[in-house]
This record gives sequence, C-alpha cells and structure tokens, in this order.
Amino acid sequence: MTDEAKRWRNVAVTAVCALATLVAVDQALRLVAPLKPLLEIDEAMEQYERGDPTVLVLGSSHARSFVVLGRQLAERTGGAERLQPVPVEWGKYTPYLWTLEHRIAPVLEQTAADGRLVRPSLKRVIFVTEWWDSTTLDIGNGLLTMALPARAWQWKDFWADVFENNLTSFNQNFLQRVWRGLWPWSVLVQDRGHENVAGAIRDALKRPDAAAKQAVYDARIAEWQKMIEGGVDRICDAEQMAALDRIVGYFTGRGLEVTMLLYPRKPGTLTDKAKATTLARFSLRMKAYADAHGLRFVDQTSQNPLTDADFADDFDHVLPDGNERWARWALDGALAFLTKGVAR
Amino acid sequence: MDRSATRQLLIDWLDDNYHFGEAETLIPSDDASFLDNGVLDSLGFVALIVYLEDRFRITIDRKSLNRENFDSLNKILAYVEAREGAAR
Amino acid sequence: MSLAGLEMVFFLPLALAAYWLGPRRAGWQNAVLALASVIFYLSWNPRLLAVLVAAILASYGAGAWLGALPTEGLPEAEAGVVRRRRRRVLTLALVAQLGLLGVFKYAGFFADSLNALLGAVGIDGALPILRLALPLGISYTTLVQVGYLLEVYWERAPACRDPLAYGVFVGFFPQLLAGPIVRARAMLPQYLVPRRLAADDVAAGAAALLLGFTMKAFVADWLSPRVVDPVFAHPATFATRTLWVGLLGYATQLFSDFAGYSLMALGTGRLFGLALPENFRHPFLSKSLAELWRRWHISLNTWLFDYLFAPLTTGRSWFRGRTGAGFLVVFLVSGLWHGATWTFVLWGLAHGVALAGHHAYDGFYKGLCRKDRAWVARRKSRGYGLASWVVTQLFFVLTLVPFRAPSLAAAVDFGKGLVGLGGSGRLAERFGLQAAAITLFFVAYHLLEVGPGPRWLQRFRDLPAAVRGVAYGLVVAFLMVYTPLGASTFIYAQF
Repeated sequence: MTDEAKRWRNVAVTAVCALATLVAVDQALRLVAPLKPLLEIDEAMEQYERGDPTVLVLGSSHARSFVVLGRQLAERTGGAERLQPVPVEWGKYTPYLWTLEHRIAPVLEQTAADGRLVRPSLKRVIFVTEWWDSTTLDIGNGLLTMALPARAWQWKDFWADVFENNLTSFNQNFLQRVWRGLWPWSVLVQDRGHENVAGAIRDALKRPDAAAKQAVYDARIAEWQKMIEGGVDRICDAEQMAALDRIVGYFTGRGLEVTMLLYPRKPGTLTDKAKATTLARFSLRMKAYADAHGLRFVDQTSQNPLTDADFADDFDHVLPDGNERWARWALDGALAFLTKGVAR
Repeated sequence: MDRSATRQLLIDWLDDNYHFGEAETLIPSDDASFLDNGVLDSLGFVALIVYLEDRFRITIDRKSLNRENFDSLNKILAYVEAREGAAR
Repeated sequence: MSLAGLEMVFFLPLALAAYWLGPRRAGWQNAVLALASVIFYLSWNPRLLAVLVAAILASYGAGAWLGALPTEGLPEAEAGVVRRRRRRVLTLALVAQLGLLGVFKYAGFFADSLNALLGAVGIDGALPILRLALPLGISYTTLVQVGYLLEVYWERAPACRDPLAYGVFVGFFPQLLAGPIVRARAMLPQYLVPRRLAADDVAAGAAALLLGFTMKAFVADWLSPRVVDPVFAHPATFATRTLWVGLLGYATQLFSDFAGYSLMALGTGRLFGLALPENFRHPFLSKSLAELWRRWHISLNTWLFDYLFAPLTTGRSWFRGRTGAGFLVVFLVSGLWHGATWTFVLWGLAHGVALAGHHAYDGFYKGLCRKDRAWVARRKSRGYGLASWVVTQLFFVLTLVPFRAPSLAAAVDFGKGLVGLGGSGRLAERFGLQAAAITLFFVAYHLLEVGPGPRWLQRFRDLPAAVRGVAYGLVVAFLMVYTPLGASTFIYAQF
C-alpha cells in the first residue's frame, strides 16, 4: 500500500470510529433522556391525506393531546369518527392561519377530475386555544421567531422567504427543522434547543437536593402565576384576532361545525387573581366571539379532572396518563357530541 | 571588501545588536535559515536592511526586499557582493 | 451565513461535492468556489455584492496594466519613463481601493469628528454625515487587493492573468467574514493549478474545523452573554473583582471567537485543497508585545509590517531607521482599521506607544549587555521571562477595555472600576460545570504548546486511528450537549 493510501485508510478508520462512538453515545443517552416523538405538521398532513378525517383539530402543541382523544373516539365509534390533530408548535393565531392557508386548505379542498372533493368526510373542526395564543408575536425585543410558521413551511416557502428577506433567524428555523427531521432517532440532534440531556446528565450524576428542587419548582410556579396574571392587558391583540376571524370564517364558510375549546392549564399556576382577571376576561371574550359566530364553546381551563401531577416538567403539556383520563372525561362530557353524527 | 571580512562584519553586527557573542553558535552553517534558527526576527530583518544599505553603500530595491533573500549568511553575502559589483 | 452556522451542514457538502466530483480542472474548481462565495456574500448583503465585484475588477485590471509595463531589460532612460507610468497606475489603483474603504467605513467617522471639532468652535452641522451599510469584509478584501497591487508593482509577484482565479483569491468565502488576509505569492499559485484532495487535507481540515468550532461555539458563545456583555454594558455598577472577571472573560472570548473562526476558515480551505495562512499562534504565551503581535491576527500584522512598517523604516523618508515612530504609525493605522471610533484609535495609540517604549527599553538593555554579558543571562532567566509574560499580558488585557467599551466614557468607568473606584454588583449567574470545562479547555489548549505539552500531543497523534476516532466522537458528543444553540454574531465581522 502506498503512503497516501495508508493515510486515507487512517482517515477512514478515524472517521468511522468517531461516527460509531457518536452514535453509541447518542443511543446510550436514551437511558437518561428518552426520545419523545411528537406529532408535527408534516406528519399530521400526511396522516390527513391518507386518513380523510371527520374531525380536524387545529391548535398549538396542545393539540397533541387529541391524538389520545382521537384514538378513544375511534374506539367508541367503531372507526366511524376519524380525528386528525394538526399541532402548530408555539401557537398563536397568525401561525395557525398560515398553516391553514398553506398546508391544510390545499389538502382539504383538493378535488378529483370530476370536481368532487378527494377527502369529503370532514364535518367538524375543534379549535384549541388558550389566552396566550391571542397575545401579540412581538416579545418586546423583536418578534417571537421560535419555529412559528417555519415549522409548517415546505422548501418552497423557505426559498420564497429567503428571496424576499435574505437568511434571517426566522427562516433559519426551517433549516433547524429539516436538520432535525433527518435524524429522528438521534437524542443529541433532537435535544438541540431543549437542553434536556445536559440537565438529565446532571441529575443522573448528582442526586439533586430535594429541598433545592422544590425551591426551583416553587420559583417556576411563581413565575408562571405572574405571567398569567400579567396577560390580562395583552389578550385579544388586534392582529391575532383578525387572523382568528379569517380562520373561523374559512371553516364556517365551508359549512363545518366549529368548536372553540379552551385547553386545560396546570392548576398550580392559576391564582385566584388570574382566574378572576386574565382567564375570566379571555373566557368571556371568547364566549361572546363564539356566540356571535355560531361556534360551540367549551372552557376547560380550570374545569377539568387534571391535577398538577398530570402536567409535564414544562408545566404546559399533559403527560400520557393525564391525556387518557382527560380524553375519557371529555368524551363523556363536553365533547360527547363527537360520538354522535352531524346533520348535513 | 572580501567575503570573509564581510562575513565577520555581519557576525559582529549580529553579536553587537542581538546575540552578544553567541551569534556563531546559533548559526550551524552559512546556509542555515535565520528565521528557523531564531537568529533574526522581522524587526531585526528591517534593521539588517538599513545596516546593509548604510554600511555597504548599496541600495536594496523593493523587488528584493524579501526575507527569503536575506535569510542566511550566504544569501546576504551573495546579495551584497552582487550589489557592490553593480555599483562599481 | 457563517462557517459556524447550521446552514453550513447543507451548504458545505454541496460545495465540496460540486468541487471534487466535477472535472479536475482549475477553471471548474474556481468557478465552484466563486459561485459558493457569491451565495455566501448574498446571504449577508445582496445589494453590496456589486461593490466587491467592482473592486475586484478594478484591482485585477490595475494589476494586468502593471504587468504590461515591465522595467526589466529596458535601457535606463526608457525604464525611468515606464517607472513613472507604473507609479501613476499604482496611485490610481490604491486611491480607488482605499477610497472605497474610506467612503464606506470612515466617512461617517471623519464627518462626525470634524463636526464635533467645528461645533466646539461654534460652527454647527457643517458636514453632512454619510452613513452607509458596510459591504461584507471590505476591510479584509481591500487589504488583500492592496497587497497584491504592491507585490505586482514591486515586481515581487507576476500579474495574474486569470480573472476567475483572482476573484476567488480575493473573495473566497471562508476568508470573507474575518480573514485571514491572504497574500498573492502564497495563494494565487494555488488557484492557478487543479487541486488534488490529499488524506492529510481531510484530516487536518476536519481537525481544524472541530477545534475552531469548539473555541467559537463552546467557549466564546458561552462567555459572551453571561460574562462579558453584562459587565461591559454597565461597568459602573459592578464590583472590582467582577470587572476583572469580565475583562479576562472578554480576552478569552475575543481570542476564542476570532482564532476559532480563523481555524474554521483554515479547515474549510484545507477541505478544498487550499492552504490558507495561519492567523493565530498561542498569543497568550507571548513574553513581549512585539512577540504578541507576531502571534495575534498574524495575517493583518504581517501585512502591516510588510507593506507599511518595512517600506516606511527602510525608505528614504524621515522614518528611515526610526522603529519607534514606525510603530506609532502602524498601530494608529491598525486602530483605525479595527473601527471608525476614537476608542479604537486610543487602543492603537496605546500599543504604538508601548511598542516604541519597549523598543527604547530594548536599546537601553542592549547597551547594558554590551558592557556586561551577565545581563544577557539575566534576560534569559525564568524570573525575567515570567515578569515579561505578566507585564505583556496585563498590558494587552488592559488595552482591551477601550477596544471593547462602547464609548470613551464607558471605558473610563471600566478603568476606574478595575482599580476599586466602581460599584459593588456581582454577576447574577452562578457558574458551575460549564465554566470549569471552558477554563480547563483553555488552559489545556495553551499547556499543549509549552514544556512537555507538544510531546503529549504527539503521543496522541501516534495512537491508533481507531482510538483517536473514539476520542473525536466523544468530543463531538460533548459539544452537541453543551454548546449553546445559535452562535452570536461574529465579532470581527464588523470590520
């Protein structure tokens, strides 16, 4: 073997071993920070295209709870009712509108050669929201750019935005998403931006002091309480409400039965003051809105069977067991109408 | 001026300004690189140019103002000889 | 787009594939690099690409013109005429290049300063302030082109006859944001021949990219928002110890950011089979200011040395032999090059004065050595070396105050705080494992250069490839867990 060939062999061996080590460490990290595969818009739309659902659920990451509810609904109706959640991570009405117009509508409206709808089964829409959705995108020092429509984008949308605005932190989120999508099995790649692995390693190496953990927990609860209380003057931002109008108008215009559902919040984060101000005001406004537009209104913000223990560490999302209980309760109660047909 | 005298002048200059008697020990051969053997840094090189021009009454044109042309005893001697010859 | 950004995982493989899988011809390879560099440039400011292209065409044309006016072999009378013509071409070309830089970078500064001066004597708003967006990397590309023009003028390098090769020589994308400032004699010949991919290129390139990325994304990007920015934003409120931590943190951040990016540029170049010049050589090990400037931002300082200092101090002007004055001029220019503000000028002046002072001290010490050889041994002693190192590094770090401070007033506040005349605030963040890891890395990086360090490094390099591979895999895994996501804007790109 020539010297150069030997050198190439060395490079190859080094590279292969480096990659093998990286993958091994990556998979070993599953033990401390297991992957939590989450439904995203791409997969949701693929499911929609294949499944021709009867119920569409549009909302933020909270819409993912409806994966469980959809399964229970299918069981209860022998498959007659098919529910498809479309979760738009990070929420807010303008991103929902973008997703509706660019991803959902083309699939919903797709017609065959004879002019008939390819997917005619859709009868109902559940619009999942909470007070935060209606506040402005402007976070004080710029717009919230965490994955918003970029998560719903396709390559053509990315190029169009780059052409117009050049590479920005907003459209770079799309590249983050594509990159993550290439490695769904990798804990290290999926963790970027969440930093759960670093925390999990720290906890695994050092048994955390229970008192210290409680102190951190209490501090975070206080933060959330303050945030919710502080939202009272920020709800129902004009731009967001205008987007909501267009979303609701689109669905009602197609003759679909629309339900507005206010998603459960972690009980410990809701002070009496918040319930009396931010949440009450939002509930009243949305009820009035629903009544004015002929929508069904379901407020599950604090009226739900969930306890603090049912919520994940992020205080925002519900754990699997909690989702099961909540779904059963909802289908027995406020969402029981889903198990019955709709007069068309 | 003959080569060995010029050579001695250079060694004396290096000793007087940089190495204080140890210049010869730093230069293993007359072809040894000044840069690689730590004989002269870039500032020293500039000082050398001024010294050569003043002492030997030659002009070092910009084209030749390259460290490579002056990076060993032999190279310096060759350059000085050539310019002295040209001046005559 | 930045070499440390996520878009590189898409951009670089495509560029490398087109480069190496296409025809093995210099023209094709240069065309790929040119296209990649245009895309890179467009991702920053599309409208100003025309400025760079115009500058490149102008300097290429001037170089070709000079190449068509040789003086070799001509009788003296004719040579004199040609020389005068060459000087006119050079002057025109330099005015164009430096004029462009001056307008974009300094017009606002000079107008501001002049207005301030006139305002002090009662004449207000005399000059309109021209504030233009800075074309990407104009400070770097201008120096590359000026260097080329001077080399061709002094007939040390032939004029380039390949406009595409020349364009890539000036605008190669890894060197666009922050150098290194390349030289015609070392780089142009590389672009004029087809490049082959050697195993060493891949190995060295990947290693440089990994090390550079670690320095930039793991060290610099962690320090910046937690330690440096808060302290420099409100220096008057922080305690002395905190200010010192912030200042040392800034020195670490500045070095890691810049040296890291330079390493990534070098590594990227190697992957294309190109050898870009080294830009940093462990400057924090320097025992004198002169040595530091030979180890920090090497490409800029050798440029200033070769094209400003050496001609100035070996020419026939007043500056001939006047090393101290030469330092003052060079560092004033360096200060201005870094930025169009008075804090940078102050910084440059400080270094020029210190270097001139050290040169004078050096002359004095040499006098002592001539009289008594014992002084030579003293200078070579460990104590002297340690003292020199401390003084050098302290000076360098202290001059970073005006370098980084947003204004002269803030710099003064910071300086006051450093000697105990400031506030009492501390940083909010509690620093744990990550700070320790960064410190360990930084210390190890320097220790591997001194004493037994190089031997350990060689022992690592002699380990079997598989073992080294495992080590690299672990490093990458570590980085993926602990580097902050989203690199901050690269510091030296503002130049």
